[in-house]
Order: sequence, then C-alpha cells, then structure tokens
Amino acid sequence: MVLKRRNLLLVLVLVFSLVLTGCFGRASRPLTVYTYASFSPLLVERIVNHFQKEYGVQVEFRSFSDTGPLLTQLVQEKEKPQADVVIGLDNNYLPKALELGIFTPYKPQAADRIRSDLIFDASFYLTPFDYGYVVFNYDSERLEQVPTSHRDLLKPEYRGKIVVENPLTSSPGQVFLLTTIALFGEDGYLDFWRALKPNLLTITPGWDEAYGIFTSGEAPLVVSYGASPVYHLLAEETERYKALVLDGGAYAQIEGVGIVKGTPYLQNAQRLVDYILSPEIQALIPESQFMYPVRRDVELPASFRVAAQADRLLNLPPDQVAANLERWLSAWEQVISE
Amino acid sequence: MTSARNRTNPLSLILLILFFLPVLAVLGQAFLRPQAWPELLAFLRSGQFRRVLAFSVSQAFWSACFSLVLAVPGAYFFGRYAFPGKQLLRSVMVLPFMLPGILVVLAMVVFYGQNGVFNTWLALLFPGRKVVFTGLYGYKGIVLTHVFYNFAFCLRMLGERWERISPKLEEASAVLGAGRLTTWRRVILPLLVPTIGYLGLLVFLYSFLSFTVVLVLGGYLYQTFEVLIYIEYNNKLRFTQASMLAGVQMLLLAGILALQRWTQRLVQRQSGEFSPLPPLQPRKHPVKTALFLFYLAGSLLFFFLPLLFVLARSFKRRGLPDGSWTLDNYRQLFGTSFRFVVGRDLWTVAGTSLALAVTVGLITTVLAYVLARARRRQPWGGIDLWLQLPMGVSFLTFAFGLLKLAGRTLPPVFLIVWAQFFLAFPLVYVLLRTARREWGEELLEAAQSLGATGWTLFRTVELPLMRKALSSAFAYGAALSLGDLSAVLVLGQGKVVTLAVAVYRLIGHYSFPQAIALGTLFILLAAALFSAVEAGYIVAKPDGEEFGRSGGQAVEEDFSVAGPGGQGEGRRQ
Repeated sequence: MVLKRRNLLLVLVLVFSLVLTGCFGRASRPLTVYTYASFSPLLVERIVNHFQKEYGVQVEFRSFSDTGPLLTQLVQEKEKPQADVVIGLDNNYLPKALELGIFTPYKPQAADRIRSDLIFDASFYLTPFDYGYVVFNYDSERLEQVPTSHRDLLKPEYRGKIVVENPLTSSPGQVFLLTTIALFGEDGYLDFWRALKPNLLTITPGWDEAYGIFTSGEAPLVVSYGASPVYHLLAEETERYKALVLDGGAYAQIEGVGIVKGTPYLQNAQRLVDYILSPEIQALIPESQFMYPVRRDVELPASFRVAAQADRLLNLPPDQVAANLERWLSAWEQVISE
Repeated sequence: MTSARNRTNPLSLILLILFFLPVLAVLGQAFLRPQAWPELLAFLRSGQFRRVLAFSVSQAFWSACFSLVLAVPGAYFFGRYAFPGKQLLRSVMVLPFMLPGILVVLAMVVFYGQNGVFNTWLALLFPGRKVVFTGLYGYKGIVLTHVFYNFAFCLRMLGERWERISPKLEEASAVLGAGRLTTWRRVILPLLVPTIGYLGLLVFLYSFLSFTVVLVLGGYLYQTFEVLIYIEYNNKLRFTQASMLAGVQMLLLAGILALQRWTQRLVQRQSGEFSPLPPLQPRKHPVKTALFLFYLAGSLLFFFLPLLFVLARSFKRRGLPDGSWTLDNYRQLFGTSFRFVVGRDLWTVAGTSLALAVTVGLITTVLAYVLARARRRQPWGGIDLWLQLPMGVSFLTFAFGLLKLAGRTLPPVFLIVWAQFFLAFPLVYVLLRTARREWGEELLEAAQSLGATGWTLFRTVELPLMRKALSSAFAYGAALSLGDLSAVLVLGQGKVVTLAVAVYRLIGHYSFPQAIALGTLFILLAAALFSAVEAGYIVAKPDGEEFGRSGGQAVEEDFSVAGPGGQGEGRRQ
C-alpha cells in the first residue's frame, strides 16, 4: 500500500514526538497535593487560603479519578517526585504504599489527640485524618422488617431488595467484602455471598449508581456510608433514610494523609499534615466530607446524631488484607459469576 | 487536484500519529515482554475469554438489530413526509446521548425498574393479575438500554439518508410498471443498505464497548472486554494485563471494522438532491397517518418517557416523585453550595464545557473536512479505514496511553482536547466524507470552468453546498465533547471541571436532584448551541436554494445532536 513508502517518515515523526513530549520538565513548582476526585472543594479552598495567608506558600491540588491511577502516578514519579502530600489513601492501601516505598514518615504534632484505634500505621507513613463506616442504609418507608444481623439479609423476604457495589471497582464495595470476611472468616464468606446472591437486585460498579437506585425507591437496602443519613437530614430535612449497624459492629474506612518521599518542600508538607489535623479542619470534615474527624477532642455537629455509630470495629489487620485481597477478590469473582 | 490522488495526505499521517501514538505507548508496554505471548495464549484459551466474547458479540448484535428494526419505520416517515413538529422531534429524539451515563441508568431504573412507572401501569392495566416486568437487571435490560441509547440516532441518520433518495426514482420505477414491493426491494433498499450497514456497525461497536450499563444492570454476571480492562487498570493495577486485553479487543474490533470497507463499497453516488416532501395529511393518507401516530406514540412511550420522568424529578421538592413542584433544585445550582461541592461556580463550569465543545467541534470538523475534500475522488478504503479505527479502540486505553505519554508535559486542557478529538473524529469524518462524495461535484466543476477560483469558489459555491453537512458534523463533534466524562476525569487532573464532571461531583455529594437539574440545563445548553449553529446557517445562507435543496427542506436542518457521547461517557469509571 501507499502507506508503506511512508513508513520511515512515520517512524521518524513518532520518535520525534516521543522525544519532544519527554524533554520538557518543569523547573520549580508550588506545594503539590494529590488527592481523589471527590475530595471536598471546601477543604481545598481552606487549605489553599491558609497557606497563602500564613506562609505565602502556593498550594496546588491535583485530583485523580481513582486511587489506582493516583498510586500509579506516584510510582512513575518516584525518582523525581512531583507531589509533596497525598490525601485520601485509606487503610487498605497502607501495605501497598509501604511496599512501593513512596512515603516518608511524619508523626504530626496532634498525634496523641487521634482516637488510638484509628491509627492503622504506628510509624506514621500514613496518618489518619478522617474515617467512616461502610454499612447498610435502609429506606424506612419501604422496608417493613429491619434486619439486625448479616444473616437476616439472607431471608427470602429480602429477595431483590438489596443493592451492593462491586468490590472490584468500588471502595465501599471492597470494604463490604472485607466486612463479610471479618464476620464469617475465610471459610465462610463465600457461602454467605452464595446465599446472598438471590437477594441482590444488582451489583453496581460504583457507589453513585447503587445509591441512585436506592433513593429512586427501587431497592430499600444499600451498602453506603454511616453518615449518609446526615446528608438527607441537612439538605432534605428528612430522616427517612437510616444507617444500619448489623451484628453490632462495622468496618471503618480510615483515610490517611502522607508525605511523599523525596519532597523538596518537607517543612511545608509537614505543616500541611498538621493543618489537616488541626481542630479547624477537623471540625469541617463531618459536614463537608460526610466522614468522622479522627480527633477525640473535636465535637460532632448535631446532625451526626443520625449517623451510624459502631461499638466495635471489625477491621482486619492491613497486612492480612494486603496479603490476601487479590485472592479474596478472585474467589468472590468466581462465586458471583457462577 | 489530480496530483493529490496517489499520494498519502500528510494530514492523514499526522492524524494517525495523534491517534495511535498513545495506543502504541500502552500496547508496547504489554507486548514487548517475553512472557506476553504465553500469557496471551493462555487468555485466549480460557473460558473467560470465550464467555466475554460470546456475551459481547451477542448483546451487541441484538442491540444493533433492535435499534435498526425499530428505526426503519420511523425513518420512512421522516424521510418521505413533512409534518408539523418534525424538527423538534428530531432534536428531542437524540437527547439520551447528551446525558451523563448515570442519568440514563436512573431513567431506566425509574421507568423499567421493579417499582418503576412501567410496572405501575401494568398493574393498573391488568388489575388482579400479576403482570410484572422484571427483566431490567440482566441481559434483556442491557440490550434494552443499548437500544434506548442508539435507536434515535439510527432513526435520524437513516431518515436523513432516505430524504436524499429522490422520490422521482420511485415514480420512475412505478411508471416502468414495478409494484410497490418490487420498487422497495430493487430500488430503495439497495440505496439504504450501506447506511443501514454502517449504522448497524456503529451500534454494534458502541454496545461492544459498553461499560457502565453492562456493570450496573448485569450485576457482574455479564462482562465486556472494556469491563475487564477497567478492572485490570484501576483496581488490580496490572497494567500489562490491561494492555494485553486492550490489544485483543482492538484486534477483534479491527476485524469487525474491516466489514465497514465492505458496506462502504456499496455506497453509490446519488443525486444528492433534496426534493420537497409531501405533507403527511390525515385526510389524504388516513392509514399512514394513523400508523405513524401509533409508531410515534410507541417510541415516545418506551424511549422518551423514561427520560422525561427522571428529568421531571429536578422540578420536584427533594427530587421525590411525590414531592411538590419547585424550582429549588435549580436555585441551588446558582448558590454557594454548588461551588463548594463542585469547586467552581456554574458559569465557569458551563463556560468551560462550551469552550471545550466548540474547540473540539471546530478542530474535528475542519480537519475532517480538509481530509474528506482531499480524498473526495477516491473510493472508501485504506486511510479511511485506519481513521475509523479509533472507534474500535477502548477510549480508556487511549486516555491512559495519552496520560502516560504526555501527562506530565502538556497542560490538561490540551490533553482533553486531544482525547475528545480522537473520540469525535471517526464519526465526523464519515459524515463529511460521505457528504463530500455525494454532493454536487458537477456544480463545483461548472463553477470552476466559469472562472471561479480559490477562496471565492470555496465561499460562494462549496461552503453553501456543504453547510448542512458541516454544521451537522460540528454538532456531532461538539456533542461528543459535551457528553464525555472519561477524558476529563482521567486527563483533567481535577483542574478542568465540565458539566459532566459537575454532575458526577454533585452525585458524589448526595445531591441527586441538583444533579438531574444540572443535566436538564445541560440538555438546554446543547440545544442552544446547536440552534445557534443552525441560526448561523440560516443567516449566512446565500440566496442559493438551488444548491441542492429547496423549500421547507432548507429549514429542515439537522442541527440536532447524536453520537456515542452517552457510551463514551458510559465507558468511564
């Protein structure tokens, strides 16, 4: 074909473009924070303004569609870090982050104010800054019999009434899978899922779809966050949707902040971590992130009376999760596609 | 002009580089490893591969079939008759494409779900008997939603094709003594087949690459390759695995695209002449009018009510179906809470979306037209086919490749335009290529022989001739850009906030009613944009109705929007 004669030219242009795109690095940059797409813009604004005013430092946020791409980016930049602080990796990502060696530890000034059972990393590579329970929410106008345990969910009366998220694609979905493993053990969780399957209306790729299906009245039970009802109370003045702590315990998703190893702006990065743990930001977290603050001495807003409060944390040790997650997920994948 | 015939156009080379460099960056990583080939073989032999392939092919096949079968009768009426409200219907019928995927899912759930409107009606229609539609969550629901996405698009494209078949052909055939059926079979159908083939292929590809719909309604019992690719990339963090899958998918789709060569070969040049269409008068055509109304009612019922029901919720207090009517949800879009959730105010967001859409629409249209013009004398094939290949490449793969290649050097906006250009080009190019081949080359030659040259020739003859196709192509390109979410999320680094991203963020903060309200505004904005394009057409239209169209037809402009925006967007997450 005609194209063939042009092959050489094609290759040349290809190489040229590659070189071109690879050559231009940036000389200096502002203090850079990587986070996920849904991190509250209110908090971003506060942080940016605070640093501008207090230290004359410019802070730039860059957000990623998901934790996966964020981690990949960090790994690719390991030699020449482009970020200084990372906000939003949760407890389950700790072992991965340690293994990749992308963070440097920093024990914040307020470390002793953090609720101790939330500190999932004793060496503070990642410092917790907020947390939330992943629990079932139910629609009190559409559910007659409210379940009290996970086993109750298997009853035929809940057939087609439950929506969950896919643990392969969604973080609350993954936490719910871990909940079932924490409760039923490695030997029992697959049987639980097998029995749960007929009662599932569908398994959605993300929280958005699941919660959308739930609030459109299609299914009365959904895996969501413990503080979801707070939103409905604040914005809609309704207590129709309620959080449900089954079996008296809940799995917490604890979000952490970490300083990137090799950052040229270590001092400002540490200031940023301290600021996130300051009472000022911690007090904003409940109604902007719909999560709990990690500090014991920060009072919850009144709206949080409708949020789930668990007496018992079901969390598995991060090491155990890291070592087995891939296996658990593929076993789950098998059972669901059976 | 003849000198350009046997040379590869440099523009097409540049386009190929823009399109395939990022893809190669991804594929290279996967296949330049020694273990790659054994892994590939193992995957091709696995039951998973067979299962995914069988499901992808079968659902895509049925989606394409149903979309086309349902579209043909409508296309007949749209292509053969004029009736009041035709233009409005055309634009209304393509709305599903403009919406963020999540809203389409909600529309389906609200209407076809177990507690949906449809089942409420069934219960009213058949009291006492338990007639329930439970098929939404599963194979049937997936095909239904794909048809929902694509049916209107097929109807529009096919109807427009039909309009360009001169009724004189039918008259001639009748004069020669052919019966209606024979005329249809021997005259009309052969002229429609290439378009039907192409549309079928498009719907097949879009459904094959479907992502969100398959996951939401399939409950993970069903998987497409795109689903596997996403999970490998984002969650298992196995890039080489993902790239390998992307490579396999690309090869499969390249094979399917090769079929296009065959369908496009069948394109013959038609008169390209618009004849005035007879009005569909109830007195003159009682049966046809009744049939048409029946068809119209049916398609509106099954495909547009779901959308209306969900959009109506933006006018309800708290978005509840039984809430009172209110404009609160719209008011909140202009308030401070919007800024805190979305990070920008509404005007900035709308402005960004609009600017991006216009940029992408213009670039795509201009480049596609330049190329289509250069290749107007050549049969479909070769480079044309290569330029269609982006349609067979998973958009996720492309976006990740682009990020890898240039994510650190080029500004986010630039990357987004690049990616959306990739997304829009194949469709825009086909539109212009077909139009450029079919339309009045004779007129141009005549004008040239009369001494018109260069810019004057282009401005006074070519532009008016091509205006309809150009504005249509621009609309499709801009629509694809407006509907895109993946590129903005993957490449925008959170700095670029478009309407689609704002909808996504609102939902992430539980603001479903506001998200739907924004979706509604989104549709209105798109409609305004494309009306403006059309208005420009009307204003700038020279007194040249003789240029290939006449009477009401000139106003009957195809400014409305369609395209895989929905699915392109659906491929996110």
